[in-house]
This record gives sequence, structure tokens and C-alpha cells, in this order.
Amino acid sequence: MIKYLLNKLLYAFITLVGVITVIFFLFTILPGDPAKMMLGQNQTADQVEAVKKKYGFDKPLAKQYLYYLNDLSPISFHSNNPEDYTFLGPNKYTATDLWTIGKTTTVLKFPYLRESFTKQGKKVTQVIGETIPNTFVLAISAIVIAILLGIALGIVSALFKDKWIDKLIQVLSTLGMSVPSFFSAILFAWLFGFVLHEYTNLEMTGSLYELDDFGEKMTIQWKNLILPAIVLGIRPLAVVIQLMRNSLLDVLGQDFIRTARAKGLSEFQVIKNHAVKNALNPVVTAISGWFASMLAGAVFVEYIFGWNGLGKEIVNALNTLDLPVIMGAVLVIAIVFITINILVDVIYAWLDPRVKLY
Amino acid sequence: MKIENNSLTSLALQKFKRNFWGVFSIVLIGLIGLVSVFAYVFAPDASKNANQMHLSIHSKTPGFQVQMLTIPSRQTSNQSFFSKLFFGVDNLDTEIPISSYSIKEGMLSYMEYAVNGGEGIEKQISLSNFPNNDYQKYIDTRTFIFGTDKYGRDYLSRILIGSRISFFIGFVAVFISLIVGLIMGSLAGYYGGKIDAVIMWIINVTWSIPTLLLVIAITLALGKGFWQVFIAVGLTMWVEVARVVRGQIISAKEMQYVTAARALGYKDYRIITKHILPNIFGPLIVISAANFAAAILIESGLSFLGIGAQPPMASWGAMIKDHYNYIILGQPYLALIPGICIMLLVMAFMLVGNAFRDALDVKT
Repeated sequence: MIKYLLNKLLYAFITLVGVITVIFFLFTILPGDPAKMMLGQNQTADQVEAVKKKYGFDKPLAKQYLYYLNDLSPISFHSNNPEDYTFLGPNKYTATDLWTIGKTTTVLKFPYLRESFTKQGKKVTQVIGETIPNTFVLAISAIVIAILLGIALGIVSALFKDKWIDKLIQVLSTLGMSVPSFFSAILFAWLFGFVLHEYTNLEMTGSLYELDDFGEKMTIQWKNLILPAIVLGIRPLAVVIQLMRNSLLDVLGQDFIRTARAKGLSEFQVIKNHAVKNALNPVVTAISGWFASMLAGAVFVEYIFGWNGLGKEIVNALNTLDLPVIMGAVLVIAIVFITINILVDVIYAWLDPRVKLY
Repeated sequence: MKIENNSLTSLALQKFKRNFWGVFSIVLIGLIGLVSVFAYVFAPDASKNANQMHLSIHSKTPGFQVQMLTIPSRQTSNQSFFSKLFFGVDNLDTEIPISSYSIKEGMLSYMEYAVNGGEGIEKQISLSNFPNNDYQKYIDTRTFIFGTDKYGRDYLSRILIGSRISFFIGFVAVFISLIVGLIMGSLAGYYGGKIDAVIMWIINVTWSIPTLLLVIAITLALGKGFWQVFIAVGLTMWVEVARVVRGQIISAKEMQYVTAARALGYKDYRIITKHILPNIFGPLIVISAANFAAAILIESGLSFLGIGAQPPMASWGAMIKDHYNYIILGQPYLALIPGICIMLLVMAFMLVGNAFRDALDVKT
């Protein structure tokens, strides 16, 4: 088991290095000069030089890549020469010195995602740290809605196969998969936040924390969660319905169901204790993979509902070409994806003895 | 006596024909495809990108009618017939919405259409501007079936021409993803070992970056524009194809027909292309239909964020972006029409994919 876990972790690490490499090169071969992009309209040659030096844009690509890895790695190497790019100035990040050999100090630190171009040098780690909890709340609510509703509708659909209610659920589920999330977000915001505002009392936009009426205190607004969570849940919901229906239909055709019926169990007991329980497996596997892609899917939903999460931050960063923030966000989402995959694999290996450990 | 054709393909086709929604969707896709190819023939405004703006009649409701005065340009265009047919007319004429006109002493005086039905400005123009002084040919009543957008362009024409991008991106993305996916998947599945490990690593890396964000990153790296989006989408979707091809080839490798081909001394290339690939045709069709739908969704999303097709090119996603704040200004249809178009097209491809999956008996 330990060996299995270590193997998984090692593979995840190699994948992560690949992701970092892809992100770095995609964002570094951008057309246009990043130093000029950062300074905006009013720039002098001196300023451009200073920025290039500060961020290492004047160095060759391979060197910039090593610097990037050095910034990301929790254990990093720094020169004691103040002229060198890797010199650890007092403002860069807090780190614990491990040892010094010659002119190079090795330190232990939290991965450094560099500074935002546009937010007066605010650290990207801080930008992401402030927004990602909101996105997690949104994504988890959406997943919960999708699972509960999806399993229920999937069961109904399977039990009433080819009846009108099954057909209706099928149509709705196909519809849910075909609608672009920004469009469903606009539709829901308009319908429930504007047209039906009197009855629903929901707003078209709003975040989890809003200033209260006096503009002094941040208060938590749970009702603002309702619409974005439903919208974000539409696509996973549609998928869960299909999976649950097909899986339950498969299970219902198997011998042990006939046995259960032959034992004289009521139809309700057969479905509840024997069929549904066994049909859930493929659904659970699929859902775990959905979570990370929901973090990315939240981009549109957060943008339209004005939800202060990572997705909205990504759109803002896209509009201002704040590259470090986009790079950091992509990286963090990829890490979440990889972590969840390991967790799912390990949990499966632990629960199901048939899974081969290699 | 009629000879019954019992090949697997014809059996699958028979099964497909029995699926009402599958056939319906194929027909729908065919129709939309025709419309997109001949968009400029159907569009009331056949100018390039349907970009004839009339700011004084912006955001009018569907069915809006106005008299339009066309002042012909003195420049002559030497555009070829085919270029006009497929890429729209290079528009040189000026169009002015008017509320009334009269003729005095060889001059045409007209009242410009004013925004809120108020008094417009009266202007005059010499009749000699019109060939043979035949001004009547240049004044006609226009009906805007879907109304006008916020620049006073004909919305119906924009919708028709916008279908092109959605279709085109689907084709290009599916094409690129099939080529890359087939090559990578075949190499990994057939040879196994180190090649497989490296390709699986590339697949896992691509897989770990959410599609939307990867496409955004590639688009940023290649620069804004619609070709870049096409390439970006194709380069992210090959992963799915490669995984399926790899899995199918690994299981096909153990089949007797492959062993037989190998015993006959055929080269690897021939075994893969002539023996294995035809046998995994089914899953490829199903996955391509799904990719087509996904590509349309991603393109519309990118255009909605403003990094897809750039104006004045018409794209459904960009049209929603331009008009979605009109939903609270009493004109929700401006955002609803393109949205419904995207949904219809995506749904058609999904239903076709499902129908193929049932007909070809593909397990996904």
C-alpha cells in the first residue's frame, strides 16, 4: 500500500512538472513585451529596463524557466550576490534558511507564484487565497445539487423506462448538456433575478459576502448562492442523470435482483437495498472527476453572477492581461485536479480489494 | 429478386434510420450547414460580415420596417461572383434610413430617420448621384425580421452568418483532434513500453489542465483571432481521441486477425491503418460527434469572453456578449436568439452522437 501510494505521488509529481512546463512556455512565448504590457501607456525606457530586470525578462528562455521552477519549488536556491536575479531580497517572500554553501543559500518556503501585474504587486498566492474559498463553496454546492437531484431523477427515469416521464427527463438532460453555461447563467439571472424577482426575492448578481446596508460590515448572503450553484450544477446534473439511469437499468437486469424478488422482498426494498446501492458505483467515479473541471467551469457563472471567486478573477486577469494571476490560477486548478485523482484512486484501492496495486 | 445487403455498415444504417431524433438531428445539421455555406445568399444584408451599420435604427424590435435610401458609391468594385457569394459583398454604398423624401429642382431632399420618432435632420442630395437619375430604385422599404442589433445591423443576417464560425470550428477541431489523436493513440497502443509511457504522460498533462483554460492559454500565446481558437481547440481535444484509440488498439492487438496479419509479414503501418483502424471506426465517429458539440460550446464561450472571433466577424457567442445587458432593458431576444441557436446546433450533434452510439453498438 505504501509503495502504491508513493508510486502514485511520484507520477502526480511528474505530471505536475509537465503542467508547469506547458503553462510556463505558453505564457512566455506570448507576442508582445510583457514589461511594456505591465507598465501600460506611460512608460519610459528606464522603467521598462527596471521591470525586465526585476522579473528576469531580459534573461534567455531556459534560464527564465529555471527561475520559474525555483520560485515554485518549496526548496529553492538563492544567490548571496545582490546583483543576481535569485538574490532573496527582504520583500520577495518569507523563507527559512536551511544551509549555505559557498555563495548559495538553500531555503524552505511556500511556493511563490510571483506578483500580480496590475494589483500594485499584490502576491498571486494572496489573490488566489482570497478568492478560491468562494469558488469551493460554489462548486461543492453545485455538486451536491447535481448528485442529489441527478440520482433521484436517474432512478425515476430508469424505473419508468420509455414512459413519458422518462422521455421528459431525457430531453431535459440532453438540453442541460447542450446549453453553454454562460447562456444558462444569463437565462437564470434574468428569469429568477429580474422577471420573477417579486416572488423569488433573488438578485441578478451578488457574492457570498456583501457589504451590509450601512456599507460597514461584510455579511454572509447565503441566498446569493442559490442561482449560481444551480446553474453550475446543470451540466453535472445532466451527466449524473444519464449515468444513474443506464447503470440502474444494467443492474436491474442482473440475477441477484431476480433472487431478491424471488425471496419475496417488496419492490421498494429490492430497488432501495439491492439495485440502487450497486448502481451508484460508476456515478461516484464520474463525479469525482467533475469537481476540478467545475472550478474551471465556474469562470462564466462567476463572471455573470458577480461571484467573487477564482473564475471571476481569471476573467478580470484576462481583460487586463495579468499573466501571473492566470498562470497561478491554471496551476492551482491543475493541482486540485491531480490531487482529487490520487485521492479517488487511493480510496478505491483501499475499498475494493480487486483493484490491482502496482 | 432483391438482394439483401447485410453488411455491418448497412445494418448500422438501418438501425440509425429507425432512430427518429438521430435522423431529425442529421437533417437539422444538414440544413444549418447549407445555411452557413450559402449564408450570404439567404441573408437580407449580404455585405461582408453583415456589417452594414445604421446607428439611427439601433436595437429595433423584430419586424421593424423603415424606408432606406441607398446612395451608390462612385467607386466600382471588381469583386468576383464567387467572392460575393461566399464572402459577402465589399460594401461601398451608403445606406441612410429615412422617414420621408421629396423631389425639388433636380434635388432629392430627405428626412433622416430620428432615433425616437422625433424630427430628423433634413438633407439634400443631387439626383445626379443616381445612375440615370432613377432615384426610385434606390429607395426601398426594409423589414428587419429579427430587428437590429446595437449598431443597427440586421440581426437575422448576423445570425445566419454567425452559424459559419460554429460549423467551421467544429470541423477544424474535429479534424485536428482526429489526426493528432489517431497518431498518438496508435503509437502508444501499438508499441507500448516507453513510447506508451511518454505519450500517456503528455495525455495526463493535457488532461490535468481544464480544457477552457488550456484553450485560453494557447489563444493568448498565438494571439487573438479565430484561426488561433481553431488550432487551440483542436490541440486540446485530441486527448479524448488518443485515449480511445489507444485502448481500442491495445485490445485489438490481441485479436486473431492482427496475429494473422502479422504472420503474413505485413508492416506495422499497414496493420494499423488497414486492419485495426477500420475496426475502431465506430467509437471514433461517436467521439467526433461529441467533440464537434464541445468545440462549438468552447468557441462560443471564448467569443463571449472576447478572445474568440474578433469584430466585425459575426459569432453567436460574441453576439450574446454584445447584447446580454439588453435583457433587463426589455429586449431579451437579442441575447436569447443566438443562445437558442447554439443550443440547437450542439443538441443536434449530441443526439446524432447518441444515435450513432446506439446504431454502432459502441460502449463508452
